[in-house]
Amino acid sequence: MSIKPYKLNNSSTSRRTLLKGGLAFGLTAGITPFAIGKTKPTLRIMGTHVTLQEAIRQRAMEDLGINIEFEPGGSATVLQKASMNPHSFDLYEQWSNSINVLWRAKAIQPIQKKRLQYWEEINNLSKTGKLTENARMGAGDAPHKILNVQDDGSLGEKHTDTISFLPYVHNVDSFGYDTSKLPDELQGQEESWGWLLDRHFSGKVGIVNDPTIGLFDLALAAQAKGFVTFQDIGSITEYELDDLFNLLIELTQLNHFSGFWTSVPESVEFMKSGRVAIESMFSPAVSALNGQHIPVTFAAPKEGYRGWHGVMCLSSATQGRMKDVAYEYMNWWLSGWPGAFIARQGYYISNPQRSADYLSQAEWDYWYKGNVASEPLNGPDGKVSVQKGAQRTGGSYEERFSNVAVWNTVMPSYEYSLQKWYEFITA
Amino acid sequence: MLSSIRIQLITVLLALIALILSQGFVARKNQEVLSKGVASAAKAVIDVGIVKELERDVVDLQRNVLIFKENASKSAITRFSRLMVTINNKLDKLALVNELSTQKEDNNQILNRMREHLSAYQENFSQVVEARSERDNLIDQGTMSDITLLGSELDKALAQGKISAAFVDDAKVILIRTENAMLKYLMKPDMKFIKSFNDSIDALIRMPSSANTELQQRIERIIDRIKNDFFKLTQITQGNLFLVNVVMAGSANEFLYLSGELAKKVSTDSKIITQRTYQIAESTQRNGELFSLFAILLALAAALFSTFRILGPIRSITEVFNKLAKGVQISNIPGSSRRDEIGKLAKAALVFSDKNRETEKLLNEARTMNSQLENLNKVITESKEKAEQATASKSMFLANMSHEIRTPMNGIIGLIELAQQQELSTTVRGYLDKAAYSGQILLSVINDILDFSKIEAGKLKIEEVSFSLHSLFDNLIAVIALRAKEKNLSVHFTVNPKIPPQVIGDPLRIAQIIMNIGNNAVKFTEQGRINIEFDGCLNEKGNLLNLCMRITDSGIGMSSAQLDKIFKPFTQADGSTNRKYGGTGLGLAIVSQLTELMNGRLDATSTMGKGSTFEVQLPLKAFKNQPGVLQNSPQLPSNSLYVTESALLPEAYCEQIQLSTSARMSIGEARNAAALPDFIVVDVHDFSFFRENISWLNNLLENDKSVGLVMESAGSALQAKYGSLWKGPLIMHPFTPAQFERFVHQVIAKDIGFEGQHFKDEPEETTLEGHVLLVEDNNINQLVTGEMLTNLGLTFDIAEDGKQAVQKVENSPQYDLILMDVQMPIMDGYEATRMLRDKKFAVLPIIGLSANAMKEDKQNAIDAGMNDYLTKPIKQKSLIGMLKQYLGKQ
Repeated sequence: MSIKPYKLNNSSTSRRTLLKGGLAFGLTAGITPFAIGKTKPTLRIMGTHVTLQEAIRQRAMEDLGINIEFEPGGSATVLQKASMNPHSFDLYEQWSNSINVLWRAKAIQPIQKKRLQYWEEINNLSKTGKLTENARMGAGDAPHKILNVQDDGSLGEKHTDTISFLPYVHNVDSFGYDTSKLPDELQGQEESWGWLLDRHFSGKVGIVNDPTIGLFDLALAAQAKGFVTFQDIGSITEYELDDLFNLLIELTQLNHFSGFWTSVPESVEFMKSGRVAIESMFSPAVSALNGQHIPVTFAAPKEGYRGWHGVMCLSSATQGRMKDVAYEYMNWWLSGWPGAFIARQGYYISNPQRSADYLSQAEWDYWYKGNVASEPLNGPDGKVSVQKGAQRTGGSYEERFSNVAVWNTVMPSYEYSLQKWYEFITA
Repeated sequence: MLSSIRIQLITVLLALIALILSQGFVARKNQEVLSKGVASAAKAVIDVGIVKELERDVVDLQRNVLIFKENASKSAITRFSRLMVTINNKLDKLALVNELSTQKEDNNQILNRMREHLSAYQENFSQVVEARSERDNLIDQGTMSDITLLGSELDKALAQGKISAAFVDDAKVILIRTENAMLKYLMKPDMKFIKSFNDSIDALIRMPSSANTELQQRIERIIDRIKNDFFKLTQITQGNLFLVNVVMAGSANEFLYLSGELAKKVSTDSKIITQRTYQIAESTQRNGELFSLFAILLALAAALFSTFRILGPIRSITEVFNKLAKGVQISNIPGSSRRDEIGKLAKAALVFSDKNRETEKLLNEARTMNSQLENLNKVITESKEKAEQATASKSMFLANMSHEIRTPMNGIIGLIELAQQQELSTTVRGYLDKAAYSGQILLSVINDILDFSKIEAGKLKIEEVSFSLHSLFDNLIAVIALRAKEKNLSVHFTVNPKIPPQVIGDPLRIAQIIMNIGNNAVKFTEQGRINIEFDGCLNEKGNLLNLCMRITDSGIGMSSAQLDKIFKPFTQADGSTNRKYGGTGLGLAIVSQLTELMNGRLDATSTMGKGSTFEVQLPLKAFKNQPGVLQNSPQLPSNSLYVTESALLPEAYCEQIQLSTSARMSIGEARNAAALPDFIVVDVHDFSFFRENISWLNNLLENDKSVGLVMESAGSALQAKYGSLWKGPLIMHPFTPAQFERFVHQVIAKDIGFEGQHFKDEPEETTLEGHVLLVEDNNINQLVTGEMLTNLGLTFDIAEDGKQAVQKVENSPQYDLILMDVQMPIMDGYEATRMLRDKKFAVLPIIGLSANAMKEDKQNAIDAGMNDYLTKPIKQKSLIGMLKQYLGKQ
């Protein structure tokens, strides 16, 4: 993965033409083509804004010749809706921490590996949990631990013919901060999760309002600061939570935290308005802010990243023709263009080689190799989001995923954490 | 720059008005803004209040959510929805207010985000409510009832003896444990309760039973359902927990944060508004002051403008005009370079000034002209004087010429006259006659020139003397008939018988007029007839005769153009006329001027080639109650016969002599007539008639008839023939009334010797006695005059000049009369006369002789003491008359 495997024409037009041709071939070769005259099937996809983007929908409809309905929503809401009613969707896109719930609720069905055109291209991150030999094994629900459908119906590491979700979008998150507002005391220091709880940022800290995500940010921060120590940060005990939240509630009451965001645009607004100087962040927000010339750096904390892995699940209620369409969509997602598209938001795809064809060398070098941008790079909206000379923190794809401290996880103490979270944010 | 003061003034005024209006407008606007600002400030306070209420409401919402979460209270739901309505209303209100805010965008964003959170909150709450009811349902209808159902199934089976009692007991213990786990989970959602629930229920399944397959399957189905329901329960619980604790709490948190922000913004807004209101108030005041200052400045500028730009220039222009009115010269007019009204005024002043100058110049010019005119007048006067002098000189010259011409003429005519009195051969006599005639013509030409000169010089005086028309007629006929006879022209002379013969006027000049015209008629007529008519009428009083003389010829006539010219001096009808007919061309001019002098009228009509008619009308005083020229003539007996075919006698004449028009016969009739009256008048038109009838006529005479012949004009030779063949009365055209009267007398008296009042032209043999001193420097004239005197039987001495004359008189004072030439060397006649009169020769008759025909000469002569005056050339007849007058008395 150190060298870009294919070098194709930079022209997006020719790429698209090629893609269409290839796709058409793939469709005719592997899948029963839709009979002419039949009405277009409508694929219903439930999920979050991270992957349910309009540009993707349009492109997919154009490429696949189907109708697609996106139903984006808050993670908790969609999760509950999906788990309670599999008939309300065909495909479900979220993070790996939702898999256990959906699987136990029997809302999703196993996915046949053989029907995944690019299965073999999917890298080891989701297969073995290690992208490189020396990669650090992140705590919590690493994707490879919940991917394979075991013979007893549970999910485990042992590879079988079926999987619970299609591995596709993933990334490591940390926090972002406005470099112009970095306190003098922290200048020159190595970036640390501890900054989120640093008094110099008091009143200027934003946290994502989700216990399965924000909790780990705060846990990593508290641990970095040495306030709390966890036995297993991937499975924090209720006692440990008590200690953590005692600290956090105290800080809340000291107005250390300025806000808790629930969506990416909201996190952009937090930073843009100056309400926060440092906050939990997702990669697209950083791109957006940089595109607006707000000097936000996506930190590469010395303690390691909080990893997350997107999951694409097939509804247990989807059968027959719609199921075929759902497989088409899953295959499309790994066909290159979508991976390139989300790469420009800072996300990675599980089979990067195929997307490399859709990225310029400069893009590839910047996004995947972690090199300095040799030219201004456009975001998915076509506007410049990366200035020439900029560099991603944390290095290359491999380097970043070799440094995952914890994966987003639904811990056994989840219900308790919800209670504590409530106390925390309303304190 | 605007070029008109009017426009400038209007502009300034408009600017002032606009300023005042805008000031008013701005003040009003400011007032509005101010009151709006105050209102906004007040509003902002209210808005802050609303935001605070919002916060309170949201907190209340959260409270109700918690209440619902705790005990699923229905009132909490109602309260929640009511609060939602309130909050939405307040948000709407704030959105409305926000429309006026300075931070509209920011606030809108905040409000929108608040709404988003609120709606998410509401949605989430409804999910929570739904989930709660589902959970309750699951508990009541699902897990709980299934556990109960399972218990009762076991009891039923025990009663039926399908299973053992111990099994039922153990199972029931497990069921109770399961139920306990579930209740614990419901109390406190925790993984471990789920685990213990699942463990318990799984234990139930694993428990060995003696039950038959059917029962076993039924139990397992129920257990499955219990497990499933419980899973759903945990899911719902977890979801609810997540919704309430994370999502809704986050929304509420964010909502509260945003409302705080909004409150901050609103209060900042209100602060800004207040501040702005103050600023506006200040700026209003400042603007007002600025406006006032500007208005004052503008007014000042307008005043200054008026003063310096209008009033000042107007004053200076006024001064300029004043000066101009006083006639002061202005060299420089202020403001003349301007293009406005002042400039126009200045230009007008300039024009005025120029006009002034021009007027002055004109005045000077007029003065110069006047002086020039004076000079000119002087010159003219001088010229006039010179002209007068020249005229005088001319007169003098004419006088001299007259003298110089008349003196030799005197000699010529006198000598001719004397020579004619000698016995001469017929040839010599003819020559002399012609010489005399030439002399007469020459004299008349000289007279014409002199007359014209006199008239021109205004020196001709019209006399007013009593005279007889008869003498005029005689002279006229004598002259005209003589001339006409030479050309064998028939001349008829007719006078109105009623014209009074004695009138007052200038006979000489009247004769001159009529003779001039008559001579012209003769001159320009080659053959045919000339009619001369005298007519006239008296006025009512009978003392004024309008004499009308008409001469008609059958001559060459004239064109109307020629007619226009003939009365102008030195002009004849035609240039060629002069060569053919001769003459000075003065004749008609003199006629015209004389007529004018006598207040008469001269008319001439003419037809080219047919002849001309000249008519002169002269007003003459007449003595009253005179008989007409022919009214004294005798009348023929009434039976008298007039033998004629076309009467030669005028009708008036016939009437006068009672020659009836009815008693006329042709000669043929007369000759054949059986009896003829005693008195017969016969017309004789020509000699052949006369020759044919003369014997018969003579027979009539012999038969004691009285026969008078009326003859057409005839030449002298024919006249002599008539005279030799006819011894009876005879009259030949032309004849005067007097001659006609004599003819009538002759007819009546049958006596041809009857003379009546006959004027004899022949000189009488007159002898006088006396000794005369003839003072004359010219030898020829001494001879002529001396001869005349000798012929008269007078003796004389001659003195060569005045001095000699005086000496001679003094030496031998026996002279009876002195004939004194007035122009002589050494001493002229006037002086000599004066000397003689001075030397006591007062009674000695001295008669002046002068070649000067000027009237004043005569006066001069009288003034010098002369008794009378004769004009050279001296006619014997007039000399005799004069001498008779002075010598006869002795």
